[in-house]
Amino acid sequence: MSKFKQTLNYILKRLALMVLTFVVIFFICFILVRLLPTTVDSGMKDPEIFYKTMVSQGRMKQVVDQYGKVTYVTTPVFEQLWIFLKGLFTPGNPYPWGLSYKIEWLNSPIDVLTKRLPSTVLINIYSMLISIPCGIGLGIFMALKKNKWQDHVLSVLVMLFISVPSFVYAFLMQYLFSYVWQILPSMTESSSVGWFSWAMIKSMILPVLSMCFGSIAGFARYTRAELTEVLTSDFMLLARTKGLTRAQATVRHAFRNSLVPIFPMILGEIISVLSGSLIIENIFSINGVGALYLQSIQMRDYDVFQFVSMFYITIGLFGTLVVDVSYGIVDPRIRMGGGK
Amino acid sequence: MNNKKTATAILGFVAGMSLVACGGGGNSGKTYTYNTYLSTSPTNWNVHNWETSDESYITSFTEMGLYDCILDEKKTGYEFVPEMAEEFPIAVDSADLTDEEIDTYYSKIGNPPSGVVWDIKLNKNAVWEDGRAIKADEYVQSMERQLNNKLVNYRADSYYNGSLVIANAETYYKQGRQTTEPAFNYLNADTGEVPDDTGYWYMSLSAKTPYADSVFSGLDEESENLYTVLNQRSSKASDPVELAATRVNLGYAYYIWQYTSHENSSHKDSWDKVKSPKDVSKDMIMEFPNYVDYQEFSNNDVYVPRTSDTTWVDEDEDGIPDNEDKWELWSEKAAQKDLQTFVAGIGRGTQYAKTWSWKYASFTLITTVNPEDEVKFEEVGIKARDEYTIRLYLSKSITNLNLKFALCGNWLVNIPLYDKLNVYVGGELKGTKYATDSAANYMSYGPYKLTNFEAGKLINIERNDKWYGYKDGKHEKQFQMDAIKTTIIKDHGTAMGEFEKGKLDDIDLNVNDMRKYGSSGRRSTTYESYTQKISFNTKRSKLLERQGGEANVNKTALANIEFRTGLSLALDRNDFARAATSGSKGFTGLLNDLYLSQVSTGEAYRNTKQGKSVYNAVYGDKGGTKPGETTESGENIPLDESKCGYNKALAVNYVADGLQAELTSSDTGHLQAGNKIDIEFRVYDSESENTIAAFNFLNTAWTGILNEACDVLRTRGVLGADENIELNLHMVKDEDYYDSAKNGNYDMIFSIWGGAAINPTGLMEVYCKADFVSCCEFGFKGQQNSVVLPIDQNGDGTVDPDTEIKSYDAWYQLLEGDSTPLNEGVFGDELQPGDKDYEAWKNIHEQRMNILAGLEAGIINRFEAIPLVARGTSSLLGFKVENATDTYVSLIGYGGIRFMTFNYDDAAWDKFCAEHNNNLSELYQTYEG
Repeated sequence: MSKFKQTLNYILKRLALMVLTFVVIFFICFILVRLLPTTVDSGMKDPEIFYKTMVSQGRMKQVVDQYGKVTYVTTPVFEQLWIFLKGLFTPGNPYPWGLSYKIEWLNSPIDVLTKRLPSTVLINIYSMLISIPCGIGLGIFMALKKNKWQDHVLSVLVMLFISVPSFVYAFLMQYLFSYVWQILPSMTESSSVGWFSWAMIKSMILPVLSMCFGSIAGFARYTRAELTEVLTSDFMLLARTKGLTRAQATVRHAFRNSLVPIFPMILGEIISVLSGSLIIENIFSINGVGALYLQSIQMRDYDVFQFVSMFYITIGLFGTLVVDVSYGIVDPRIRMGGGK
Repeated sequence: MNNKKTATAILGFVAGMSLVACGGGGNSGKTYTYNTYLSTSPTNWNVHNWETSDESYITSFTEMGLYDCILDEKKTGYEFVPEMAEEFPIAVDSADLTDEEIDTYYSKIGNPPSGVVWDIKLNKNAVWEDGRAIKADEYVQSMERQLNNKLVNYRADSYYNGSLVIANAETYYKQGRQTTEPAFNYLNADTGEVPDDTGYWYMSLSAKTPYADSVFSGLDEESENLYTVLNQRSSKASDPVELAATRVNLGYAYYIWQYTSHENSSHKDSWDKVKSPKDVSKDMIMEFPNYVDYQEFSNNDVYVPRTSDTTWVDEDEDGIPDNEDKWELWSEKAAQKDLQTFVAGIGRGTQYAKTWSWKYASFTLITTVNPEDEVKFEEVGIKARDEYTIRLYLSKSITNLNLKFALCGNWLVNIPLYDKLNVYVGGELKGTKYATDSAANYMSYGPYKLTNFEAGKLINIERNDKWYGYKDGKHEKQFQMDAIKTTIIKDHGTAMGEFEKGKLDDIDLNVNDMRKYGSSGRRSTTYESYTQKISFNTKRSKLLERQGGEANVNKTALANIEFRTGLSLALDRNDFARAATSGSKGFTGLLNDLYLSQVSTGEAYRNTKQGKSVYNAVYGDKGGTKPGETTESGENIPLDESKCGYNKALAVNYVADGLQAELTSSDTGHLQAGNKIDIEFRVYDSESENTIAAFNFLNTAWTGILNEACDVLRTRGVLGADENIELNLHMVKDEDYYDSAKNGNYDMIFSIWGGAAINPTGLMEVYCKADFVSCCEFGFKGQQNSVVLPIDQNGDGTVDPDTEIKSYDAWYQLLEGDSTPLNEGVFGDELQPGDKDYEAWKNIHEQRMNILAGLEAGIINRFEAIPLVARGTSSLLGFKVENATDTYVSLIGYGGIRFMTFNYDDAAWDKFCAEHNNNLSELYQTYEG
């Protein structure tokens, strides 16, 4: 079997498993969130309003007995699931994933999420574009200067940036750049100025930097560790003895080999552009997706929770597949779908 | 502040004030933008559906009521003005109604009483932001959407459940649906029947019911339930009413414990630990949403105590009491009988003595309208008389004043857009997206229009040039700003940073900010109607019991009024407010500036001569030294009012006298030299920053005073040279500290009471009513109907011993009792000097105020409840703008956006900020106003 066919088989098998995993997680999410205690306001204004909300969300239903007596009972969770699935697969249903009743009144969960995605994605992409080259570059430099003062100084800084949570330097940078030196805005701009306008880009500098310091440090540490190991390998000695310069040997042999474990990290970073940081978004007033997931659970906005969960699970499942497949591309020694 | 900056600021203000005159229209080419923020983004600002104050934020700029309540010319009170209405409501004489009108709206009652039919002439210049005229029919159609039984809008009850009750509105809203309603609203007072009685009767301790309001006045929304009534009343073990209340409480708790699912409860962990009905807490009961059919108490084994002894023994934990001699099975009839005993027992007047009066405290299933007997909207009491007149047919009389209050809100929506945005799922109408999501989903008609709404980020509101008010000559110098830019900023630190840079024109202050900006002249406070007090346990026998036999520990000193008076005088309340609160102000009274003595004029009780007399009545005879004594210089220095009840020298004297009396007392367990006065301070959260700050403040103040008092006692020879008395004030966390106080298991708590600002006399209930269970002053509890108080009721300067000395409870009944002869309500609500009954009303009003002030002073003078602060929250207002008044006016605040003026236009403000390096922090801190 050719390598291509082998890889294709592997991918198809993984896709089938992904569908199964998706379905299992879908059911788990659906059932678990509905098993959470319902929040009933203490000293409620009017139980009728509570019932109305619960009925709208499908959590309860009104039952009228033969004598006309009305009661509200909790809809069995599997009945709720059945109703949800019917809605999901009904052709022409404008709201296949239901409606948000809390976060955004009567908006579809798809709209709720997609409205918040651009700012999160942009900040993550900018952060990634800075952190990957800077982190890897710094790692290479540290590896080449191993055990010299430059390496020691940078290692201390790297440890510092890895250890300190990003919101700490977010606050610090906001204070210095926005309030003391007043050279950058403390909050991101509204989308009305245009996502790619200079005003928007400028307003994103601080959150982007806050997001990328940790990543830079992470990439640098990882690259340094991998490259240091490769640089001391026997084949590097062979490469030098063959007459390659240090730079040639490093770039052509050492760096490529050290990328094998780093490349999936980069892919992971790319996939994570869709997820937001709750605290960074709060500090810089970014209307991103960071708080959405938590909010949907806290406010019991069931349909939003279900959609957001399944969206990220889909991304995660595809991401894992891409990362796994990428191993084979980066390192030809790794074969996909090998039996043994 | 350095001189240069001060000068700049002042110059800025002078220059700025000159700009005000030309503000408000943008004609000068200058723009005036108000920059503010919200920490939470509104999601649904539809007037039919909004829930939180953030959601009504947008409409406060973009919509307008038929009337508005605004700051009066003197800027000390309020007045009503017509806005979307052309003139004030016109009462329609019922004799002028046609037969058709009476048949349609008043068929059940025949001839309607006065005050139920009103004509509202609409403002003919009112238009939507797109220029389309707003006519009477759109108001009528908007009311149809408000009350539509498919939309089930959250605010529908505003038009049938308050003072404004539109005929057939409730029926129209509830038609085709079955609802469980408080029977109180529907009971026939003679027969006890309800309309469409289906025979299902329910009990709910948590659901809101007007029955609670009929027992207690001034309840907040969360307390308007049967649970409150059952638990906030007097308790005597032998009292059958008490037993009935206990049986209802525990029977209900037993039922929901044993026979309902707790899987969906947020108190699931607590439910899992319940071993007896007595373990079911208030929160667990209040969270239970269902109504319990009385039949359930017969269909299931529900145990209730036979006597006041509620000891629960259940060795095998099967939920069945082993001591069945003390518990018995409940039933439908027994439950109704218990409730009957309770309702009749605490009821005032005759209506609750009926054999069916348990129904007043019950709920019933109401089939308001049978599907085959549909109510048409034409039968709902709102009708367009012509293009610009609507007529309201109400089913409950309302006074002109209350109608104007009620119509300060509006129900108007843009019908074509509203209907276009309806959301259907599976053919079922779920609601409308009107006024949600974006500016395109909304249409303004007020002084401003919504131009951009970006959820979670930004709200842009700009001047609505189509608004009638800019051309009618009635709104001169009002609404001066051209735009309001609101940013959603969740992080307080970020918002503060923006404010200090001049990017925001206001900021809310928290307790940390208060340390920085607490003394700023730009700080203003929004007050609540609550007073925070220290409440002591002053009952000597209870204190002695709590003191126990522990060596060198004393608690009984708290029973000494001079000692407590000293502790009160030792507190600089202004310092306390600065150190331990985020915006409250030092206060010595029980009723703060918000309480109104006269609602029609907005006169504050505190501004009346009676309100002003209270401070003097409490502290007036307390000079710099004790009465009859003089200072070293021979003067009797009056207690400076600005000190807010603080006088250290006097405090030392009072504490020394109190301690001396205790030391020389012959009472059992009295204070002895070398004792530690142990004060257990029960607090809700001993970890909170505010509580710790308050504790430290009190501890420092009182320890210092006690040490000085000991020096005085040594000088007097009461204490030996090496003898001392110490204070041990310590906090104990107690989330149910009110219940602890209710039972006397405390030495000291913070008690916080407040009520409706329009009803200051109602608040006296918590201090003066002998059977008010949650009374926080245990030493006075239950004695209110035996301890007497002289009050100069008629204000003639003397107290008549026959008629003007009464118990606290009797004075309270004279204010609030059902059959009080001092009833102002019979005179209506808007009497003017010269009116026929004005003098009669004035006489009664003055007497009521005299009694109120007398009670307030009487309570404070007992020094069992020591007022500390009037609660409030603070904010800073930027230099760019000015409020209309510096004095907080009840119901109005500082005048709001309508009267706000600008010191700087946008360009001048940017220049001002730049001149101060975009850092105004120091200016705000040092500005003295």
